[in-house]
Amino acid sequence: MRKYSVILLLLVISRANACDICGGVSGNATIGLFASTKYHMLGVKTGVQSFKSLMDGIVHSREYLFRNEFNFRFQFHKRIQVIGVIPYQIGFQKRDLGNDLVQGLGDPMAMVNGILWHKKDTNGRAIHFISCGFGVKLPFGRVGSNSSPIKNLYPGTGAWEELLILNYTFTLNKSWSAQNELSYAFIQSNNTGYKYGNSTQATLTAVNNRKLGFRRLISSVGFVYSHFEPSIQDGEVLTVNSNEGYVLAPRASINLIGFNWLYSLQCQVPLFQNLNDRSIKQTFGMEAGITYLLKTKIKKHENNI
Amino acid sequence: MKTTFNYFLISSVLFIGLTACHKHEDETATINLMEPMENDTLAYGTELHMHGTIIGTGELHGYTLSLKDVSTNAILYSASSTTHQETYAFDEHWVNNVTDTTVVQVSVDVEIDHDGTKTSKLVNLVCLPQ
Repeated sequence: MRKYSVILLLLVISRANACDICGGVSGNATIGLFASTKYHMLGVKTGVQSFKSLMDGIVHSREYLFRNEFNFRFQFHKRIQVIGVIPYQIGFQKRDLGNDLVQGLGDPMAMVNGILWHKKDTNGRAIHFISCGFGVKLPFGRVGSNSSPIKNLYPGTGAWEELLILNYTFTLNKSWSAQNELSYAFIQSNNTGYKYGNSTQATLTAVNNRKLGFRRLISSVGFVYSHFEPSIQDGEVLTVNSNEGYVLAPRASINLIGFNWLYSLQCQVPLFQNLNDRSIKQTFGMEAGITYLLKTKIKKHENNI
Repeated sequence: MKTTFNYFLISSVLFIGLTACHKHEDETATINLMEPMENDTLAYGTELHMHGTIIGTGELHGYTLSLKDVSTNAILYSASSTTHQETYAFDEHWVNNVTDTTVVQVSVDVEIDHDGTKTSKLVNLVCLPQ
């Protein structure tokens, strides 16, 4: 089982939806919890993020974004990983006087993650792992027109987006490690001159790794902080419905690895937030995934970067 | 013991009956229709944005948002909520598709109780044809 103990970082948990329902409040893409130079990964994931919209402090609608995605990570070189995500989103808005449902392909994302430092101990356990990723989100998802009242339920932004992600993970002791991640998304204008604000996301996570029979249980708790800059229309920063704001949320996950399969469950609930002048509130988010791990052919001595 | 139980049963039935049927005489609701404004003009194909809040002094019994052609009384749009709450907020849309210049009345009718007591807010606007 030792081979599993060194898988300690990289499960792609990206947020590729547009949703400014929620103030563009989907988080940035993230390198996530599992990184390994030993495995290629091929997975599917499903999850829900819920919001409520308020008018003068009165709830007038609730929104649920059901996100499904196909993701992969290919370790084609000892220092380079290629990550891809193809999302499909179902957005549902429930109001007093009606409901709306929009579904479709989201904006796919491709990322190259460079492993800058991967120091291991004599047992092969990762002591330090630092990576830097650059990604692009492509405007291929389904987009709503600017005049649509449910524009923000659509899964695509209609704009290109560049992502930069830094990840540093280090081992604290035999069972615990800590992961820090910082990401920045630079979002371009779409063809109507509308630009969602750029966003920054920081996560701090404590990761516990223990053997469970023939399997390995990796659980984590931490915080994620997301900041969203205001949206811009034709070069003018919007002052109303600008989607500006922040969210600080505790996040926890449980991951079970065994027989080349990885099962993941994650949830988060905001602790502090201010989105769109408090007219939008995130409530809860949950995500479940299953990933197949395929051993790479990188030689052992090459793998010890 | 049986007599005590009977008294208890009768008292309970009376209490439930009286509280269930109490009148909502003192209850009111304030309707704040933020959009549209009185005498607004709407071009053909444009979306009418109707949003506002309803704040009751007690539990309200639902509301209806509707649009009607003032000259023919034809209903152009209508939607209702029957949920019981003290406050409501709505944010709805309708696309102007009239074929002639039409005075349209936006109406918000709030049910104060189940006896038909209502309070309303009316706003008129002009919808233009193509």
